[in-house]
Amino acid sequence: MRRRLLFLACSSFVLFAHAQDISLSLSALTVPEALKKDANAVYRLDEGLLDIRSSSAYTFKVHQVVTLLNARAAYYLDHHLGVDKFRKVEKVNIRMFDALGHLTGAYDKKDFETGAAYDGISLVTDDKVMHLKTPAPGYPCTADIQYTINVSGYIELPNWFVNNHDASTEVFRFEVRVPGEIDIRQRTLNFDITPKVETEGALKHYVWEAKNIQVKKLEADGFETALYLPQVEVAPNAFEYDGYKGSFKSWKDFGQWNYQLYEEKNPFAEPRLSEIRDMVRSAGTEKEKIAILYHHLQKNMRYVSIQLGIGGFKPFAVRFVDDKRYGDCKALTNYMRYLLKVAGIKSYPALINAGTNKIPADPQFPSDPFNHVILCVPGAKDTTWLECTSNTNKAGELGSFTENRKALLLTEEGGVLVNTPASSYHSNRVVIQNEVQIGEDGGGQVLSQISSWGDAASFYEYVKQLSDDEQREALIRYLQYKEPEGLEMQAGEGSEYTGLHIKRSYPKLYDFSAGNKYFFPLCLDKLGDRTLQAARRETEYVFSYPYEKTDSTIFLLPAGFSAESIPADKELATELTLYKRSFVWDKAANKLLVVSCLALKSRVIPPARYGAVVQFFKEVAELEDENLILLKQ
Amino acid sequence: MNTILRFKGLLMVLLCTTLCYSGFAQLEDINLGIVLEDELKLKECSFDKNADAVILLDKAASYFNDEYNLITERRIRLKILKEKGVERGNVSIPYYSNNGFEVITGIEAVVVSPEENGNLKVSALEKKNIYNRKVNSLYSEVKFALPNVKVGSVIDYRYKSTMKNYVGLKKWDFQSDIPILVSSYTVAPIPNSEFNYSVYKKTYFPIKIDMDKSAGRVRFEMNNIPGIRDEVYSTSPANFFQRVNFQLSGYTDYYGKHSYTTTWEQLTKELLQQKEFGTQVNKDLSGSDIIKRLPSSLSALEKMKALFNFVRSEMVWNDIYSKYSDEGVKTTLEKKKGNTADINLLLVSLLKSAGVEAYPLLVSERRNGIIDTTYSYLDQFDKVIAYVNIDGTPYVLDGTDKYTPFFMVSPDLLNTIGFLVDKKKRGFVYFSNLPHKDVDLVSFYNSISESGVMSGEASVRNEQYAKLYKEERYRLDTVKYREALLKSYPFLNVDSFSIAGVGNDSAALVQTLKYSSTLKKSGGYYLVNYNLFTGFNENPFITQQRFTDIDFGARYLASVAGTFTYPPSWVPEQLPANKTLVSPDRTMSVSRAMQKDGNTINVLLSVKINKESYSAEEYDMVKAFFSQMTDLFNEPILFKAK
Repeated sequence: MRRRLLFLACSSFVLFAHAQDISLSLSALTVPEALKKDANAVYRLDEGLLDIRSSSAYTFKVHQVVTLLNARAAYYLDHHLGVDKFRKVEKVNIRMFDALGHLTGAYDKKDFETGAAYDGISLVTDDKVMHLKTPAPGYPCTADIQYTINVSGYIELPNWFVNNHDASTEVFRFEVRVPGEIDIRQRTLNFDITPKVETEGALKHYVWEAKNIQVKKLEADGFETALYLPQVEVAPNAFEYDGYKGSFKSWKDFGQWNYQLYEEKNPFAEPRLSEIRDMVRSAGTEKEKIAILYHHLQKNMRYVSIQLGIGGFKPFAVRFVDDKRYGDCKALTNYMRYLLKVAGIKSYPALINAGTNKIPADPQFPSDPFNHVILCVPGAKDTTWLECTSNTNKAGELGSFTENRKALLLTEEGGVLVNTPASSYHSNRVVIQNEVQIGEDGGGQVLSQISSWGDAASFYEYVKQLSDDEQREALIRYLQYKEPEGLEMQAGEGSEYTGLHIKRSYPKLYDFSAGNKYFFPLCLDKLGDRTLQAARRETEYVFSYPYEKTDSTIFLLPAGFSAESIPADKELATELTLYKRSFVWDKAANKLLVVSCLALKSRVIPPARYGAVVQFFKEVAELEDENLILLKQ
Repeated sequence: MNTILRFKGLLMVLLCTTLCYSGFAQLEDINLGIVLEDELKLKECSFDKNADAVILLDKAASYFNDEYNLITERRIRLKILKEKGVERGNVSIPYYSNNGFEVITGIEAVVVSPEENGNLKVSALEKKNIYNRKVNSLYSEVKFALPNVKVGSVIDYRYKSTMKNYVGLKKWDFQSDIPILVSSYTVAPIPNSEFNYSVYKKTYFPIKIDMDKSAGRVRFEMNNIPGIRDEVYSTSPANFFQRVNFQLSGYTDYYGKHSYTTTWEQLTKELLQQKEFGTQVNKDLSGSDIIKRLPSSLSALEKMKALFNFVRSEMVWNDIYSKYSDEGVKTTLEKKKGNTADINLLLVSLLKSAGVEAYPLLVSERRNGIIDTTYSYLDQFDKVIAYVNIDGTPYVLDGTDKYTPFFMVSPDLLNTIGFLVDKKKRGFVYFSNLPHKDVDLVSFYNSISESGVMSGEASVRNEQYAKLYKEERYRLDTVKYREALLKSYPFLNVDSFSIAGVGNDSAALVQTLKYSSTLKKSGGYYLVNYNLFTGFNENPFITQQRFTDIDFGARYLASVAGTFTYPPSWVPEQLPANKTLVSPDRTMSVSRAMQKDGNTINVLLSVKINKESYSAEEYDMVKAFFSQMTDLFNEPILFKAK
């Protein structure tokens, strides 16, 4: 699916008004003191006027007057306007004023430079971006930004955010004029504001207005920012894009519109049809057939994001994918769907908002929050979900990118909003078995056997793809390996999980010594998370996924070394986490077994529990940093 | 479209089993899409194990047509070895499209992939799947996704670049981020022309240079060159690619002899005559408001400071690097916006108009590489800045750099070489052995309670380059800055944190912290870690191989002075020994000294790195030194409670 590009720099967007009315406010000296608190910038005016003419056309006029209080606000002077075939900038005027309100520069459309837009993923898109950087005449200064955008085909309507992460707003206004017969649906989020609604002949006129909105800093590591910002959201009832008419009155309608884009009459011809049938001929169950065809997809296809035509909503033809062997998520999902169809198995593409911290689709407010497509194969007993862009996921395994949220199934009957399954922490697990042979000189060799499942396997899959020194760096930086002299890695067998064998060698395995006491690391693999910072939170903290990690390590001591004392077994727990560590000392064999287990049961930590979780991980880190003290005779 | 094994009958077999090429020139002549048996068998690159792909052949030939357009035909053939390498099937060819300078045509590509059944599938790229996109006003990109790319595929493509003139003939890289078996470049200059080339390479990699005088061309080839990846404390990997640089010195045609710069003297003369360079430097701006506002009583230094501050705060850089002014300095002053040359030549002309001795200085930023002083190639530089001389003291000022104080050299120029453009004073300016260093000074006082809780107060002082780097990060994001500072010390509970000196060029950056920490306890001992706020908690040099030089930028100086006061009932074990380590070349040293004084232990650590950079060949020495240093600093003080 395409990532739609509106405005890149300023997350709230702009528009016009009556210059003579506001000339006074162009001086930075008139900014009310109360609005300066925590602010790098102050919107004197943040206004959007949306004029909807029909289900395929609207004009959007933006007027923003922003006073930049300091150089940290310089990014407000980096102006980006997204354009494409259906979205044109009719006019744009930007004027810069110094602290006293004197005009220091004026810019219009011809000063902008237009280039291809890069969304961070795609190889090619139709999107372009107009860009201009305007000079600041020192700080504070004020930018008066006005532009008009003409849209001749749309699926969504612009929402209006209050960008109060680092800016306060003096006057916020959002207006919509829409023919009463088509009307809009609207709601606000994180915003205690109701629109004034009037009827002006055939038009309905909505006005949202708010004043003196103060800065509210966003906390890092939560859900995406859009979940926390105050905003007015508007959505069409009917729309038309590139000649395709659709309706948004219900999820059913929007699913219907998408469904037609995924339909193909003759996706495969002979002899390809027989080849596909041959592939699954020997498979007994439906599950086996799915696994065979999914494996075929993973072995042969590669994910390439190319977003062209119909706003990037229509997948490439199945034949194109079959021939070129690449496609984006829509194309690969639809390809898989038709492979399954040849095998007599029905499946549905499912639109989803992928990403570990994405906001959920709202059953009550049909819109298009989606950025990805996966495949749903309903079965008699259980449903199989397939991520068709992954070459490593196991069949039926979604992962934190798409699990546990709403997805819109595209069926012949229209859209159906369903839940994707949630994995448990046990499904994202790592099992480590270490054998540590300590030498008489304090050197050592560590043999590790690592097996990982689900999301926890992705790191190990990534490591396998690296070159020698990159593997070394990854293990030391991300798994906090004590830097070994020798390091060898080999992929392990096993199709149900990711296996890895690692051999580390150390000329000096102990950290330090004091007299005849040698302090060895007790945990060669650290299980705990060391990135959490102690702080109070008002919003949830979001991990990528819940997990379970187990480590059993056998220390084989050489003759002449003995353990001074064995630490006591430990158990730490909060409602959401668990850590256990136990020891078995075999004196006769001079062997010590340490078994540790850590579980993060939920990936979302509510603010009230955050402190306890931070404390938990801190204590785990302390335990894991303990030494195994050996006495040398 | 895709014919399986269409070329099977033509498969050639080479004898070499490890596929390290040495002189199989015929490989270059194989038709697109024909794969050698050994290429099919190839599973890893013998001299760069675990590389995700290997370039089997990177070959280009450049020549001129009747219009003296520079035409380059390029062929790239690579094999995908790992899943990660599959993304190399998405190809992007950037080109300089400003004023139609360059066009890319004749793209052809074939992919040969092993099928699950053991057959080969041959797929060709279709014209309609080739995209051309304008990136910005200067550059465009041709992009395409090759069909049927997977582990084991051999990708083979070629294209033709046509540039308006010789200016496009710059360099050829024999190296890349992945290993290359054969890299060759043939260039046939314009008839009756002269050109210079310079080869940059490691001595242990041989190069073949064949001069064919009768045909008027020269061919360069290097074989079996491993990939260079990003490395810590390095400028840009591209600076270390094995390569050959070119410069045309002149040609004779129907209209007579045209000569291009071949000496630094000629380059200087030429630049000073150009209206986009010398003419701008000499523009008289004494009538401009800013000069008129300068009180005549100001000293040259004060004038310089005032004009530099004016330019760096009022002018907006459009992110374009250039040695030539696009707009001219007068328009730039009016529009308050321009490329690096617009802004810096404006700075030079303002300074000169105010009676300050100033010159344009060509420079090459660190990421752009160090220039070769033996060849007067203008292309080696990426921008022009200002050089000022006040009573014998030199200053280098860059009007597009917002943060470097006027008395320091921009961090982007450390260890590089500039060229001062002036008829008389012309010459190189070396940005090494500079007076300013990277300085970190840490001090702390800690007291430990009977229960093993340590509370303390620390001051972390960053001076000179250390300040510059840290202040920039602090300005970007204050929260992340604090997190980064404390990242290696999760055991500290920080009660207060303050920072002083931001925005003040003459002050150090001073961070003051108050914290507490429960001491680590192991085997009946309390462990005290005194390696606080040094940044030397882990050895940054982890890799076993090193291709690029280690470049710290500036020389380094750090010290830690601290005290730990412990309860009377505690007894310290034997203190970590006082030690000084000096690197074999004596450029790096580190020392640790400890002393017990009643119930207090005084700790003094110091680090000196008296050289800005080390060659890749010295990597093992640097790595070993850092490893010993981190070991030394991480050895704790042990206490036993009575």
